[in-house]
Amino acid sequence: MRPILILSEVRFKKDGLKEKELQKENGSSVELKLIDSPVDRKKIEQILKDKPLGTMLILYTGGAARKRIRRAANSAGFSHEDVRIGKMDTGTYCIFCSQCHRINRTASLEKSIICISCGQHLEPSNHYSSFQDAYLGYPIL
Amino acid sequence: MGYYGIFKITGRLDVREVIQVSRLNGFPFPFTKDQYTYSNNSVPLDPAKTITVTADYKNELELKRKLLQKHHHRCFRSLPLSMESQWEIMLLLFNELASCNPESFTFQKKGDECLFQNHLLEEEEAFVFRDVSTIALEPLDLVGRHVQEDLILMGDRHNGLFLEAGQLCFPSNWSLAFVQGMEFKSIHNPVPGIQNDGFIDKVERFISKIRPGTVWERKNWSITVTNMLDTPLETYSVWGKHRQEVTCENAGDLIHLRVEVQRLFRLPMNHDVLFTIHTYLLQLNDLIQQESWFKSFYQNIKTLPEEIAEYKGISTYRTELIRFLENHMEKERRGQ
Amino acid sequence: MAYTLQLTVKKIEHETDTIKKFTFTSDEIPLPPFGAGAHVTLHLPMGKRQYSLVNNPLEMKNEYVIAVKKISDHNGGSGYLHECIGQGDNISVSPPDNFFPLRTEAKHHVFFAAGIGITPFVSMMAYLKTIGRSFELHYAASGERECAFHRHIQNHFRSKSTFYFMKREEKIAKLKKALQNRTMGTHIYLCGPPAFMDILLEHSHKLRYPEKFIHEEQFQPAVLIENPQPFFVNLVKTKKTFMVSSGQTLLDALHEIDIYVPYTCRMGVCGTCEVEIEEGDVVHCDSFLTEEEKVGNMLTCVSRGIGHIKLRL
Repeated sequence: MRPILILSEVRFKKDGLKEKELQKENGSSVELKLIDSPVDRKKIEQILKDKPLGTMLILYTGGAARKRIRRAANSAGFSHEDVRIGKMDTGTYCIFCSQCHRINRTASLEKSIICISCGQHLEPSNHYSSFQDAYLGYPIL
Repeated sequence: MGYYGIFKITGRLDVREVIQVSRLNGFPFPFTKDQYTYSNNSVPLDPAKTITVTADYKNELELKRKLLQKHHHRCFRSLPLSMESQWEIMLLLFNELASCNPESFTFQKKGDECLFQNHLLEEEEAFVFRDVSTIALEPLDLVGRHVQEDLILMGDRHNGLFLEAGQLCFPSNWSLAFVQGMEFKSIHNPVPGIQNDGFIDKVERFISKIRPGTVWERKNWSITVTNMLDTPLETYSVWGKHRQEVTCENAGDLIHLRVEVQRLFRLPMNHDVLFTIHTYLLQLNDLIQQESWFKSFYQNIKTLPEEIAEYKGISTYRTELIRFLENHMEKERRGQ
Repeated sequence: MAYTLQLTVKKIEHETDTIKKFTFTSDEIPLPPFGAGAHVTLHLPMGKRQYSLVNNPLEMKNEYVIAVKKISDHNGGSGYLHECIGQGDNISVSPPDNFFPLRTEAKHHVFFAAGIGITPFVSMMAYLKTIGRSFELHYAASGERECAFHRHIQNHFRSKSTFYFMKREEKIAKLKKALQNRTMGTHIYLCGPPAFMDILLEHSHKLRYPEKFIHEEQFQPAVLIENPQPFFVNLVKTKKTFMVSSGQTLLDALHEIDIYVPYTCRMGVCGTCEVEIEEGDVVHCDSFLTEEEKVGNMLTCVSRGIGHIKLRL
């Protein structure tokens, strides 16, 4: 079993703890770190530094924190597939405005939105970028 | 040029045909079969050239530079990891420009001191290889201002291919800003049918196995309802609405066949993949003058599966387009 | 690439008693660039032989440099190079290819070499030093005298290198220890004799390092059928039987009887002409299909059946 590091925002503490128990039962060595949002980049880099080769990172974070942590993890040598998103209800999705690049938040991928920055009417798609941690919003004419 | 010697003149030449030749010659007509198929239609190129200089060089570079000036954030993106490959691409393209078009370009390299001269634009770039203090732009952004192609760098990582840098001025309805940093597979998510039978995995595997120094070429086509090369997703609200304006009368003027000649090259030094895209436009009125092209185009449009037509943005005016082509066919038949 | 370069032997140097360093150049053509970890293929009277390049790709001055350990008499490739090749001789060389590229995304590169397996790392370390990246070398040899590039490494990479000249048991224990406690962002590269590779690979499994972070040279020898034999083919769906002659590819034979299989490269690399095998033995000559895929599929442009095969066409 690969070593596991769980990073959980305080608001998802319950989910993080549940994951920890589950992974322990599977026989992994598990470490759970609780983080405050907004996340401090330096602190995240410190946490991700010098983890054993083969570590799997599981995130219980949403929004900007998740994107920031994922990028820091990639910089620290975690591959894309070494970072998993835990099962939790963040209640929001991020939509990348294809006209002005602003990332909007929405509660549902089913409903169209108006971009808060450029006012474009957008239809969320299922085209997801893990780099942006957002779904592409297509313009509705 | 010269590679696209597809256009063959048969029989007697009259004045009208000569005019067509100059307009159609050099256009990379993409259809080889009379039916639409989606496949890995890449062929190896020998000699291994990544770019082509055409008669539109000056015009297109003027447009490209204008777009880069006005919308830099939209047209150029890079991740720090791409720097070494960016330098390699800059050397490669300056070298290729000069060696393939010696009357128009000169490139000299003494040790790491480099001098590129663009005689067409009366410019020169002097720099020291791998010394960022000697260039004002990132290498890919700089060299891209001397070639007609859009340039995409795919980083070949231990876990797949990733889009790590790009200079993209003439995209066909996609956004560089959205796809930067993405895996090859996820970038292609919206292509219908592409996830079938692990097709995209096989294309990725094919690309990841391209040997150093070799170039593969494929042609990708779509249709635009403008004569604009720059149709990024970001300005869809501007150019996309023209799709509603097509009628079976004006289709010949409005509609353009858009062909992207895409080339893949394995950078020998950094082992990443350079993807160049050269975009050509041909107005439908011109296309239909060449009978074999007309027939082939008509068959392909007719047999295009609905979801591909949707993806290529043709659905809105497909009926009008087909009626226009059939009217033309009818006219030709009666004319005979 | 199919073409070859005609190069001249510019210099031959003794690296150790059994290892010679050859420098090739050309006065006429610019040599194609290469990456760290690349090799060239020499065309020798006894066949093609591949050797890693040891020069720095960023400081290449129209030269390819290789190091060859003599492991045969002059009938073998290495013996021939040692005994029959001299300064000023000409030699045919295929342009560089690379099946051992550096993973530039790594935060830290760790090299494990044994014996002549050091060669790709000499080039990699020079390259990494030039671009300012972090690395370390663990290098096992039977002794300082037999250790190729010992002085070169001491001169250029001393602080990053550990040599292992001790007895076998102790050597293995120390190498294993050097493999331990590695952290995320590290990529590990192995090159040496099979026994050396096996020990370190096995140990890395034991340490639960994902395979994607461990790299060894993946030579993919193109399977060339010297003497192609005719074979029979049954198409189970279209119910046709035909023979593929010795001078013909399966793809051509299919087209001849109007079974259209799409194709593109005809070189076994693009995967377009894949068909499913129903039954029978196949010699796979492509470099595209995975081992699992080869069980039930073949590329018709290069691969051939043995005796009698059935295809799902």
